[in-house]
Amino acid sequence: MDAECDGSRADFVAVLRLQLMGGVMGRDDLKRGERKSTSFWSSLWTGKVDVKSIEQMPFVDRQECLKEIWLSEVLSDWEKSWKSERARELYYAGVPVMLRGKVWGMSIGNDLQIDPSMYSELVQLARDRRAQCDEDDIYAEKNRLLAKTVEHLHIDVPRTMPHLEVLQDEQPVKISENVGKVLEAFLMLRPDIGYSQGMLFLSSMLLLYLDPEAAFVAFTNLLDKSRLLDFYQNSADKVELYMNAFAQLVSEKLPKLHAHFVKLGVEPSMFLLNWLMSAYCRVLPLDLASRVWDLFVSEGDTTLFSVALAILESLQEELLTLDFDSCLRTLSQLRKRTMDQDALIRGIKKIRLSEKSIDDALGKCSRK
Amino acid sequence: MARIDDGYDYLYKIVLVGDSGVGKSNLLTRFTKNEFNYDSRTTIGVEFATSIIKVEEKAIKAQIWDTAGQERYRAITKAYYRGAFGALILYDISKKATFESVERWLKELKENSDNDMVIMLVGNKSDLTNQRQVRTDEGKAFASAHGLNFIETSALDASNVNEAFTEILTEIYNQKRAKPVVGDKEQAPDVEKVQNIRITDPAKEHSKKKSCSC
Repeated sequence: MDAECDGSRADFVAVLRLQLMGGVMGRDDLKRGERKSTSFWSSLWTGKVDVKSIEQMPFVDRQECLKEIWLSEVLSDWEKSWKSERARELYYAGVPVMLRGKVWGMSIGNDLQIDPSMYSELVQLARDRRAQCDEDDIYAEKNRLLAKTVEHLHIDVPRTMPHLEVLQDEQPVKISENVGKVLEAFLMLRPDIGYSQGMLFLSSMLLLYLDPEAAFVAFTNLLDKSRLLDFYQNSADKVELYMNAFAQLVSEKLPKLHAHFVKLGVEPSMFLLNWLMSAYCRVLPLDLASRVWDLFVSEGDTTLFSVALAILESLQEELLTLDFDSCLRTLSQLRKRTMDQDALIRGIKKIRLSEKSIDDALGKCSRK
Repeated sequence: MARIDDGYDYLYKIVLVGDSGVGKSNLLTRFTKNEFNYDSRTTIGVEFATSIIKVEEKAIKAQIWDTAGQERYRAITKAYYRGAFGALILYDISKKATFESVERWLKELKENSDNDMVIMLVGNKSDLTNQRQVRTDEGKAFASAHGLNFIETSALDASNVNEAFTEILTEIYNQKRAKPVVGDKEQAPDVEKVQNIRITDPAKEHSKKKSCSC
């Protein structure tokens, strides 16, 4: 466990324990506890549970309760219910750990119709191609480039989420063993996008809850057409535009903080690149990042901007008293803070930017 | 020149550049916090830290920007070269390829900075003696051919880390002193900036003053 994640350590151990109970991706379909709890919970509530009441529960009870609700109200009829208002409320309440892999996978979907069995073939292909670097054919240059990229991404693998383990088929598996492979497979499928630092945080997060094939399918679909691609491709103009658009949004929603930032010279890129390009996995405690991802997978990448605004709003009073150094220190070390998760999630819900509000902000900035 | 209450006289911006994994972030935390983190995470975008050192009885505050090493990030991170008075180009003495990239980093810095930057070449991971791929004299020769300062450091065992930063900050300080006319012009906005970013936390200021030798 990363020492920097201490704040969420206890919860995270609980998370892993629950995964053991439920099996990754709900493979065991949550046999344990089900007999007791189904009748237990349904005897407590006959109608729809008020999500607000769940917030008061201790961690494990809350997970159990949410699991029952998700199973009976959403997963029982996914196509019909996952976009409903009730489901939205449940995403904000948090997807229970044991169902997270399943729900994330289904929420992200597979519009690209990638066959999961392609994963191991692509990993093998990447290995074969790299082994053929020295051959003298038309692919040699491409293979050398691939080898270089793969070498680079393997420098980053141990620097992404060190020490994390999940249980797969009852065996502890180091996340890092598969993180690189998912990216290698992705490189074979999307050489046009290539590898960018930050991507590994996304694949690690997915691997925490999904098995490697499913994580690969989810990763590839998640990035397809995502605004994150503008960042990963490091198009300076586009990134600058997003940064200005974000400053615009801060000025509209948090004018006092915006004025403070302008006075100090704090610019969004100084903290926001780090937040967005790791989809918060690098900056938030893992359990909170997972809840942010519940929203990210269901509502798309506009959520990532809402989250940034909600974090700033939650820290506003403090930031207003800080100087340049302390502001940046605070914004880059969120993991070391104890954050009220539910309060932040409520903040995100309140802000909830639409696709259009981001496009509008981008439009305003590009006209300037 | 009047001492500014916040506990430092000059503020110098410095950038750290170099290939991925050469140890930029750890060099920075070794200097600013005297820490080495075996689990340090890939830097995404830019990160920032400060430290204050004394040069000739003047307190100099270094504002250091640590940048992502991946080549494709340069498009974004080069914005941070602007206004920097100094730069450290890092390579890993146990990885030849990172030394071969130094020339590109140098070019990148020169094309994107607006100052007469003091640049120092830093061969990091000097503790890896058995895996050394770049000899000290190779580093030295490159540095002198390009008019750079040179030092070998180890963020892990802390050797030469303070020396590297002290040397570059002293050099910047001397450069500013040596050109009084330009220096005065250039100092002015610094001081403004220093005043702008002062915090008004009385407790903190008090403790800072106490630790101040003046």
